[in-house]
Amino acid sequence: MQSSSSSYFSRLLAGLGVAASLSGLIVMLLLPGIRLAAWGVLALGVALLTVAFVLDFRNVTRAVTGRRGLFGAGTGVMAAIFIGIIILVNAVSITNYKRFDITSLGQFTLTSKTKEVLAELDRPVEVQFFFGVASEIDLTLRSYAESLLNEYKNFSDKLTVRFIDTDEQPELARQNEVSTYSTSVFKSGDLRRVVFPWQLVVLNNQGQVSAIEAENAFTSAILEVTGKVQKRVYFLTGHGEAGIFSNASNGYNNARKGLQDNLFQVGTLDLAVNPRVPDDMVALIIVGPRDPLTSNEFDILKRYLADGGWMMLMLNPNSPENFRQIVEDWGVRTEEGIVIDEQSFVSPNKDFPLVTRTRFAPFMAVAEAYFPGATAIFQKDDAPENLEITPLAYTTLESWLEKDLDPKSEPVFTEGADIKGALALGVLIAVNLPEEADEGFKDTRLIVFGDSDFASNQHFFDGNNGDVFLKAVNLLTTGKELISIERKVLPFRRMLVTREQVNFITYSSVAVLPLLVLFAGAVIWWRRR
Amino acid sequence: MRLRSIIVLLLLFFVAGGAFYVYGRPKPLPPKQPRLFVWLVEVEELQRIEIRLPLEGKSQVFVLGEDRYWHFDDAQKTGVDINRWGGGIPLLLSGPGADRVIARDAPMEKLAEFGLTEPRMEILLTLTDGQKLDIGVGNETPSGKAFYVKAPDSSDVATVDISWYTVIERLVKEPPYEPKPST
Repeated sequence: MQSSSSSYFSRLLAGLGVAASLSGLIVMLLLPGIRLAAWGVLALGVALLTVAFVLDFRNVTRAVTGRRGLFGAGTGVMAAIFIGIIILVNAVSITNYKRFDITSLGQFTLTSKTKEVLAELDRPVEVQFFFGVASEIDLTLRSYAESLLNEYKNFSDKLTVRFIDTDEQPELARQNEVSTYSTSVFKSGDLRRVVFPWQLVVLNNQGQVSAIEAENAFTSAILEVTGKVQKRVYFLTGHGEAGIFSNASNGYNNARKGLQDNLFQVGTLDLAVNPRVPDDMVALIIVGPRDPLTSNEFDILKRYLADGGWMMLMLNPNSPENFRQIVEDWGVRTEEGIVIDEQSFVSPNKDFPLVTRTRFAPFMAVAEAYFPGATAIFQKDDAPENLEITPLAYTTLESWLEKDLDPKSEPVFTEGADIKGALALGVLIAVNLPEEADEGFKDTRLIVFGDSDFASNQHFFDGNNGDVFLKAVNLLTTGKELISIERKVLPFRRMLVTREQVNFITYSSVAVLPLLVLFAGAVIWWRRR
Repeated sequence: MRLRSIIVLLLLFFVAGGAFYVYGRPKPLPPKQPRLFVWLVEVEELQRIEIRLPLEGKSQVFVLGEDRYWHFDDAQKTGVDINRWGGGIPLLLSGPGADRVIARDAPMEKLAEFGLTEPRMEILLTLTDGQKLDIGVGNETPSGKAFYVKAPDSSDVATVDISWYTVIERLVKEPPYEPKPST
């Protein structure tokens, strides 16, 4: 009786000791401010365990030295050593690691465009990076540039890179007209291009450095000093179009960066300020205008197209009338209304038609993309015969153009009012090349999309939306005598899943592994039973 | 079997431990560099300050009077404007902090590159024990934020912040005469 009560008491003490020790450890980890008290609790726990051990010495000894005790101790030692190995391997890998980029286009190293530019280098290019040590940003920029330029060197033996201490070599800095730390000078033959540090940093809304992006600037500089000119596309502004520097969900910042990654130069064009088309403009992109053009602007754009200009017009439902008039001269028209696709949409939005590979023009080679709240593009019956109008993406037969969408109720096709699909969401309009085309042939190209949101910041990286936008621009600008554009477009991939698929991924990733462990435990228990 | 597994695991553990010892140990932080001065004397040791701007042909000399106040080295021993002079000027001239040391024992061609063979400013400090310190200030750094300065009696070159230069140069260009009393 006495032995039993002693054993019970020692077990109670042991239990309290374990609880106190765990509490002490947890408090120590979570509340370092009261670490002293946590040490006290931990010490109390250890003391209680010691007392329990002394009180029940015989039982504890028997348990430890018995068969089960030895077995458990062996397992414990193995587990402890294994955990120790994992910790050591992790500790070593923090400072010693090697990165491998196994993505198809090396997305996490250099863009495919840069690699192609470097691979095609046919003359020596020297890069001088004038660094400073005055501030943290100088040191960061130097480290970044060193890493990036060394990566560049891996792809061309024509590139030489020198890192120059600006203060130690002031004469060299002066010869290169460098007066700012972290300035890069690219030279090839007589051609020279300077990249300033502010071209490498991305500032946030507070004017602080939020990121460093040098690849566009460096690759552009290499192109320039090797005598190649980059294509320059302009985005029209002044009519409520999406801003190419805007980080808002409807902005086009990501699209602009995507174009720059594909070595386009990007600018904005405000015809109210400068009522003429820039000489260096390869193509004009108009993204979701909300206000109409002035008559002068309208005339400029019409004349630009008539003179063989290249334009991408991304119209949303209810776009201003004179923007729609521009496309009507080129054999297509837009209708009021929103495209609904009951067969292929991004769940749960039926007004987000999802276009899969077979419903893209073959040359687009896009897996899938969606167009939120789009309108449709129709070929006019009286479209000029010299125009070739090719749908770029179209919806399923189960789609229609909903003329009166009520967001509170399920859309229903109304015979006589709505227009039945399949519907074109984007078209390419090109002038057929006559058999005997002279030099003055007007090679007008126009791409019209019934949506601008698909390439906005919010949706650019979803599915292959960004890919569609970039490929469309490439398609539009192919053939100008500038740098080759027959290049792979830097892809952006994101899996599009339905709600059910999301649930499956969530639950399976949370539950499958623990269930497997439980199952394995159950099997082992059964076999050893 | 269990013992063998434990031995194998222990071996792996020691290998990982060895790798951590060789590659993974956090490297000790470099010791914090003490503030470097291009030269350093006690403020009380300064007896005479001569500042020359050779390119502009201007100079100015200040001496410490027996009254422990600084004066222009003219016949009248005109006192300096205490508001401008204060304790700051002797402190600045007792030893400017170096932004960074650019070169130790720089050869002549490097000194020329830093503008120190034909300095834009020369400072001659005479100390109470008669020792003389001859300091040259050369070109601006390319960033325009500092000047190259040659340490006395050596060819070591450091950069010093532009504000230091501006204050010292102003002593010559706009000498710190006491303002005339208003009538």
